[in-house]
Amino acid sequence: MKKNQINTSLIIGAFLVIIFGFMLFTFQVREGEVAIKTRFGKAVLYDDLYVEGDTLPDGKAVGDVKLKADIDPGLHLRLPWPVHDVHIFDKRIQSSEWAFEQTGTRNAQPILITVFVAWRISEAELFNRRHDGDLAKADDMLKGKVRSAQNAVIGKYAFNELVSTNKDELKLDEIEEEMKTRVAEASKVNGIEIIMVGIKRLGIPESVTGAVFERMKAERQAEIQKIAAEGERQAMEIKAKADLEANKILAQARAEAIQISGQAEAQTAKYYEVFKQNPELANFLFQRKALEGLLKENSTLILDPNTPPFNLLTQPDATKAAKP
Amino acid sequence: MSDEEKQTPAVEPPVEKGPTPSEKVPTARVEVMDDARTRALTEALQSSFKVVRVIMVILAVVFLGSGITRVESSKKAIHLQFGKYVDTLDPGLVWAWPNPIDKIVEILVDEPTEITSDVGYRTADEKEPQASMSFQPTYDGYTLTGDGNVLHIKAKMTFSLDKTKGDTIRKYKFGFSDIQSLLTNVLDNAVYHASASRSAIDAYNNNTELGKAIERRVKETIEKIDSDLQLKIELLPVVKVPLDVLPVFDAFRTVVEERSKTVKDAEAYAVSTLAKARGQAEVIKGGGKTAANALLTSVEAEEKAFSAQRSYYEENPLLFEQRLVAETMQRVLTNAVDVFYLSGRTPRIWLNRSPEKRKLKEGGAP
Repeated sequence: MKKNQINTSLIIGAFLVIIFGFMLFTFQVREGEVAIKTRFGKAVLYDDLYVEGDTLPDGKAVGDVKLKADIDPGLHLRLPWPVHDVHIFDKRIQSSEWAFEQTGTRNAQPILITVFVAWRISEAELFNRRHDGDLAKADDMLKGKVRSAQNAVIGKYAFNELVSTNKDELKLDEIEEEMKTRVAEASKVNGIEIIMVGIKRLGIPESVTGAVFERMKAERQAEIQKIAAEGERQAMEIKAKADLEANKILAQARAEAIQISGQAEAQTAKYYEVFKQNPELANFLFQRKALEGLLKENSTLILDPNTPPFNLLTQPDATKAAKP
Repeated sequence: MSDEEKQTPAVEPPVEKGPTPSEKVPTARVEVMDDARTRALTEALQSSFKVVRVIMVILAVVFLGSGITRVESSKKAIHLQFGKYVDTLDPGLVWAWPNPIDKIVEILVDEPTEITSDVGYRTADEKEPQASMSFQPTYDGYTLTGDGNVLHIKAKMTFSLDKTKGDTIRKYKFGFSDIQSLLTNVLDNAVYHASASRSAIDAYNNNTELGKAIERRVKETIEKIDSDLQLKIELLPVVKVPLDVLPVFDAFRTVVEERSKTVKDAEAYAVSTLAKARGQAEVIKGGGKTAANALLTSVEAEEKAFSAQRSYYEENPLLFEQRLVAETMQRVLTNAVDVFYLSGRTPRIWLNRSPEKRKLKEGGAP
């Protein structure tokens, strides 16, 4: 009985020791986080082999390979405090934006601009040193860097390179890329990677907007007249073109019909050769056919009673007398 | 607990050795009481250990059971081990070691999220665009267009995860501290790019094209930020002109619509005219062919008739002519509507007259 009790106690004890040891000698870094481990306040680099200020075997200073201080997600070992201390940071992409700020273009035109920055911690050890691991402090630092970058970059470009209907003139992508390069360069030493710098909003001073409204009205009025006239012209052009084309088609068809008739008449010539054998008979037959054709429908005839065959009714002997 | 163990602390009868009963009785009572206590304590400990063991088993079962998670059909799950990404899990029943070893993080994938870019639209106190003679940049929301005009543009975007893409869910969940805020900024940037590259009239009149331009820009930017983040996007922009210039924009829109109608009418006229002309052309050509065929057939027939009748004619021309004239007159008179014959006058023939009314003739009916 005693043996069993001892076993149970040992199991529970061992379990508690394991849990306690696990908690004391390990730490977890979650997805989206990065950590650094310090030994008596100094960053542990290269998995505890080197500390900052050492020289690495390849001759490089530890400062050149600071990324080794960053600890990726997973389970890691540590010594209990005060030997090791662990600092965990948010490595996810952050988005910072600030209020409208006035700046000037190359042609001294005042504009208001709002910029946003997408960034993340690239070197946790540096970030911790520069900003005490505080995202808000980093945000403040970025604000200054962005302001100076936007003033420098916007000042190099004309207003029509910021807004233009001409694609060749518009330099928006170039402007944003240049701002990103400048901010990235300035933020590198703070352990921050700049993912993107984008213009969120562009404005013009209030005094200018009134004039813009007047210009908008004048432009629209001019365009209204132009468009109305243009519409009429376009419509007339389309109709004239269609009429011309239609006439051409009809003329072509008529010419073709005439050509077909001509060919048919030419083909009839061989038959007319036969009619030459007795022109009087041919002529008589043609006339008879013509007469019959003319009086085919809806004709009213007014005839002399002597016209055959009516002469049979009035002068029955006349026809006989007329016979030789 | 064995039987032997249970019997061990049994009460033993007091052994009487030497001393008088008056001396021995108190000592024996004390021993008996001690044994009873020990036995009770032992029994209590035994019971406690039993309870502890049962609790341990229950705890172990609960501990292991707590690792079971049911992932709903509208969700996906991410399996983390010691905080590190292991796998993306499909809906269903999943088991993982309980916290702090493993962790199952569920993510809603089917439900679209809506964000709105309205920095170029609403006023600072969240109102609709206000009528004003001028705009105060820190109060009025507006955006600049490529021709230096100002417009109000609001874009609503709904996005959802594209489940079929590899690392999308992991990036979505752990890649961004506030993805909605970042995407709103990206959308604001896209609205600015789209409006800054086109005229106010173009943006105002061609809403669909503006929406497409914004969507293109949003996709390009997301790709630049993180190519693993694959989102399904739907976009709907709303464009308003400043109220002060609205009448002239409406007039412009009306003129544009009228022009469009005029041009369309002209195009319809052109199509119909050409179709008519083509039809007429076919009729003309057909008529030509028919006439040609008729001519050929007719002449051929006449030639045959001529050849057949020539011998009769040559035999007695007068009789032949009279016979044919009589036949012809018969047919003509049969077809004629009216026939008048007047004595003592020269015959006159009226051709193709449609009589208004049939009436009795002066000399009688034919």
